[in-house]
Amino acid sequence: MADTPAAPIVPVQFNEDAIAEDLTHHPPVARKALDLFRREVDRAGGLSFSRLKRCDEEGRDGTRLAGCLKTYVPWPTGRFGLVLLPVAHPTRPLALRAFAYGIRHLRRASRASTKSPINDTTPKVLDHIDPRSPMVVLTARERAAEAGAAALRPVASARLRHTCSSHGNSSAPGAVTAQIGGFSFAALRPCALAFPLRWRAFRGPPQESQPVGTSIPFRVSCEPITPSSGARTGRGERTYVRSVRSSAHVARTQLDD
Amino acid sequence: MEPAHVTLTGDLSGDYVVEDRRPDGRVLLRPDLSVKAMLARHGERKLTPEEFEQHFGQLPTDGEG
Repeated sequence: MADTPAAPIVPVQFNEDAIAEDLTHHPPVARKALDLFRREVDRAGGLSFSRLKRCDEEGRDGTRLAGCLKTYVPWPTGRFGLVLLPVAHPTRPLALRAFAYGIRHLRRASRASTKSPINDTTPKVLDHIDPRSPMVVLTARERAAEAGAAALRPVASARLRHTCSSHGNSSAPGAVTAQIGGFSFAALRPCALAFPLRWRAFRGPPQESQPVGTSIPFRVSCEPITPSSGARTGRGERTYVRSVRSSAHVARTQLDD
Repeated sequence: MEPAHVTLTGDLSGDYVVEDRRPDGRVLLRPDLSVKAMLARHGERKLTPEEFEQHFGQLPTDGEG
């Protein structure tokens, strides 16, 4: 039987500053995984096409990575992802420039769950936000729990949705803080193009203690990605509901310019 | 208003964004981590959509974003 031709290899270079910034927001295991990945890439002289996937033009949570590629770290089932931009240079061959690294956004369907959605009556939190111009997408704290970050609970993740591109500074970091009712949230993770912000409650009652049906208004303030673009704020209402879904809830908030 | 960008040469070099200009003249800088700066730093450019399709159009997506 003839050998299957090897997939082509494309050189990979790293945007060290951006990757270093991303690594500060992840546990040590993320760095170890990336170090191993980089050694593999060095040995192979690049990354095989067979380990690449195209990014969606717009992800489910608002990321916009048209023209970008990704790989999993470690391949093929790693929980981390590396985002790469194919780049052209006048004298060098086509290459990939790695510029963002973080936890993958696993598809719900791929997650093992023993819960029956229709029997799951655990009170969950939904944020009801003016959808006119969603800027931040909050996902429920299941994401952190699934990632084994129990110590961070209650926690939600958020992603700046349009701010990055609208200010032409798509991978720059930006601090984000939020106050939701009695809860005070602060970003544990500044914005990166590909991976979510993470928010953590520092004070206030546990979310689980709120009775079903409780609604509390909240405001979100977002330090800009670029300092001179001005702080943004948004408001909405967080409602505690009894959910029939076992998957994480997604909430959106509007940030006013 | 776009933030001020500076390019440093010397003991420190590279592209930076002015984060704060203080009354006493001090300036707070942070590295410019934007894709635009990244490309400029290395003399690179993004592929055109046609080039991207030519080289990578056959690759799969995974629905994760």
